[in-house]
Amino acid sequence: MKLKIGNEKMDMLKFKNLGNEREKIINSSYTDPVKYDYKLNELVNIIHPKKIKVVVSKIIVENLETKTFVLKPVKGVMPNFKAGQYIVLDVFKNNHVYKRSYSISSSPKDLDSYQITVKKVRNGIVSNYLLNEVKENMEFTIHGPFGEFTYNKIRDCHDVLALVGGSGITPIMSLARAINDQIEDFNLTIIYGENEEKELIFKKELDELASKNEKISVNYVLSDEKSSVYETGLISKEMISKYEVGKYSYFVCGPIHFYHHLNEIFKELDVPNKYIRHDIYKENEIELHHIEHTLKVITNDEEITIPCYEDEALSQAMEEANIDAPRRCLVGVCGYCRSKLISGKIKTDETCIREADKNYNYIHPCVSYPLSDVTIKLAK
Amino acid sequence: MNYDAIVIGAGNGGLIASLTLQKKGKKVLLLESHNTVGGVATSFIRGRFEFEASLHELCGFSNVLQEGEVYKLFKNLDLLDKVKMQDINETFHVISLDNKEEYTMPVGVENFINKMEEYVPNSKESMTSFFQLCEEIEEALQYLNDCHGKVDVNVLKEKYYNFMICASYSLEKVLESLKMPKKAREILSTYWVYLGSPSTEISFVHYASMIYSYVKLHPTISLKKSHELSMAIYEEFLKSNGEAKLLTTVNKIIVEDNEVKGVITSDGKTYYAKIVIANVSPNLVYGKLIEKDKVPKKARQLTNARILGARGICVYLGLNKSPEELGLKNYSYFIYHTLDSKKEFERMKKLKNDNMVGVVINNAVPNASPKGTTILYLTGLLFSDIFSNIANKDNYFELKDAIAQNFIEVFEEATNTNISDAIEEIEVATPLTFARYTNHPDGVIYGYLAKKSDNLLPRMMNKDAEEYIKGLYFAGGFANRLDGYSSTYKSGEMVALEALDKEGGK
Repeated sequence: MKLKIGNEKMDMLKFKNLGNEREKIINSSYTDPVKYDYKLNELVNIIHPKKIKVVVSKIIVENLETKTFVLKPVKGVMPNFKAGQYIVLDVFKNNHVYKRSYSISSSPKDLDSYQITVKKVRNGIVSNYLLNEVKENMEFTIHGPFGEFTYNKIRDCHDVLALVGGSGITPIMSLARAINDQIEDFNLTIIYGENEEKELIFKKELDELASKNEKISVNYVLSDEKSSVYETGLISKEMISKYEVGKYSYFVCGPIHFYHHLNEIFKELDVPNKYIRHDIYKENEIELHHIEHTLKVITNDEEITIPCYEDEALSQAMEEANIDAPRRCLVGVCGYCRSKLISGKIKTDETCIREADKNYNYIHPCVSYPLSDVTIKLAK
Repeated sequence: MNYDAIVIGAGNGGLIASLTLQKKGKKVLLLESHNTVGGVATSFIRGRFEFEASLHELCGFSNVLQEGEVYKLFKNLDLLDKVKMQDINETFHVISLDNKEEYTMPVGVENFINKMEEYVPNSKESMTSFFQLCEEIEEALQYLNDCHGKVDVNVLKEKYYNFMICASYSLEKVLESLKMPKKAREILSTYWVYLGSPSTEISFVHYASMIYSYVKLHPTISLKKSHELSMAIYEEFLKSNGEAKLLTTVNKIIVEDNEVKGVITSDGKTYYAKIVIANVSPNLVYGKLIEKDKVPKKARQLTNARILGARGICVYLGLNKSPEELGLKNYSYFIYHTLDSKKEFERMKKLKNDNMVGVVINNAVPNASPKGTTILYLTGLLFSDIFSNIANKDNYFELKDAIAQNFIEVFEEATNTNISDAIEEIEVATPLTFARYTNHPDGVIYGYLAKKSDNLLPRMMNKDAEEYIKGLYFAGGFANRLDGYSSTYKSGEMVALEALDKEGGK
């Protein structure tokens, strides 16, 4: 076969000219410095800033054990966020950097500040510091917003049943406020479980929203208090089955044992996965097997050996030892702390580890507990 | 700290360049700003789904036939036993929305020609010539590759006559000259979106080498998503004593007397090397990483002359039904308003253009997601900066939802399926997402537009002349092999060997 294109003969010159033509175009192009000022790349920094310096502009006492901190940016406004997302707060204390994630409880409409609502955690170094020592006008660095515990109108039902355990109310509060501010559009029914009435957070505002906004309703369930006004006990199958399966998306937010409790109920009710979203947090576990192992941490620059206990996540041990390891969500979901297990046995949660990463023993140290001496390698 | 070579960015090009150099005994430092490698050649998890971030189908890697240029590359780098690959048994399923036409094309040259004859009578002769031409082009490219810039024009003239003829023409022009019926030309050009340029602009040689690889060798995919490929290369690099720092961004490339000296990273450290391979855009390198007065005039001119290529949009869907239950039979669905690529290219300058490629990964890898579920991803391209003109901080979330909604509706209409009711997980990547993860200008995913003098051959022919700063090389989609997995892998190898060559020759 000999190809002919139009009337053109084989033209060696034309082939060679491919390069010459390119050269010509370059030579006739303008010589100004190359600009790297793309609008979209600048928007990245506005929507996803690497960090935000904030000042505590106000502290609101919610109840005996809970305070809301109003965080104002030192410069400009806060990035837009989806109700249900969280931020990571850097806390410097005793020469340590503690990082903790907190759901934003304020409305996405208000970008002058974010609010985070913190409840006292038994033995919680950071929560105790925030509740007892932090004063107005103190400055902090935050990261985020992050997280996928948000409403999506394409995926979720128009009716959402929020199942809340304790301080899990904070992202749900943001969702309720977003509905009331007409940023989100769906019907939200909240079942809010707490030990006692006095521990409920945002009760006044929730009641107000429920009475004035027909898209929002709220029910309280108290586990440790007899009440003639509220339901008592744990959130039960009977309470949930009032809401028809397939018509509701369930947004579960609370401590991990609360999530396990509800999962049993969902199983009994045959709720498909599609309808269940969750945002869990771990409570500091206390008085577990306090068996000591050593954790060797390899970074690019050094190797550090520190103690680590069986009831303590590797991330936590590194935090105690002041090793600046990546950490973010602290519940094994976001993947930011991804590290390689070099040796040793661990108990871990692999739900959010990529299949290929499992081939090479990658783990999330924030949900990994040592069962022997352990060596890990950090991302840098 | 001193290294033989520093590689900026652990995308496909950067990974292969690092491993190639390390295996050749060089001391390499690989720097990556994320906490994992691969760039967009990775995966991410939502609920019980692990989503492929970007790979549709690998070209040049046949698992069954054990050939192809990427296959050879992986073999040379001792990677073959570290990746599990699956050949895909179809090339494409293309749907024209406006004309209500659908064509499903098989793999295998014979099958492909016969199927085309079924769809377009009297196309057989021209299709046969087309594939003959493809074969010659493949051989010619192999020759060019093997002679490392020392091309003997007489050899080209005698052995690769047809290659020489079509080298300077577009896909459309050559297909016309083969007297291929219009409909066959349109169907054959379905893959044009993969190269991000219409059939009237894309180099025939480039397109032919790609489609020939798909048809002859099968498209291929890795069982554990593209992250498996990236991790295999990365771990082999570490095993070969390569050094890598993740979560480390390069803030500056040090240039003195028109020679590269090293880099300064975000943690304030300086690393020295005589070779720096940038798996990032030249726009970033010349516009931000190198001091303005150290950027040669020609480098500025070249960068200013180029046009940014396709921006990407991707809607990732985790569905709670199996492909059979959903009625999704094919692996890839190319959905266009019409099969006229020039028209569609223009249409895709608008944000709402309805054109997309849908991939049902489970139809190649059944256990890509839990039993009874399906992963479907819908990818759209934009050939303008329209997204950045429309998006702002206040409308961004709404814009994402609107884009996803439209993609889903159009896909449902085109395939006559119901996807909406099965959505368990959804994630949307916009040009902003890609800009965030790659730092590419305006969030482009295909590097520069493959057009006229910025097509494959002119880039390859002038590559030596365009090394404006001694020791500074580019890998990845912005570099000389253009976009796509196989091309970016090859760009990494090419540039690593070149750097070694130059170093040896000094």
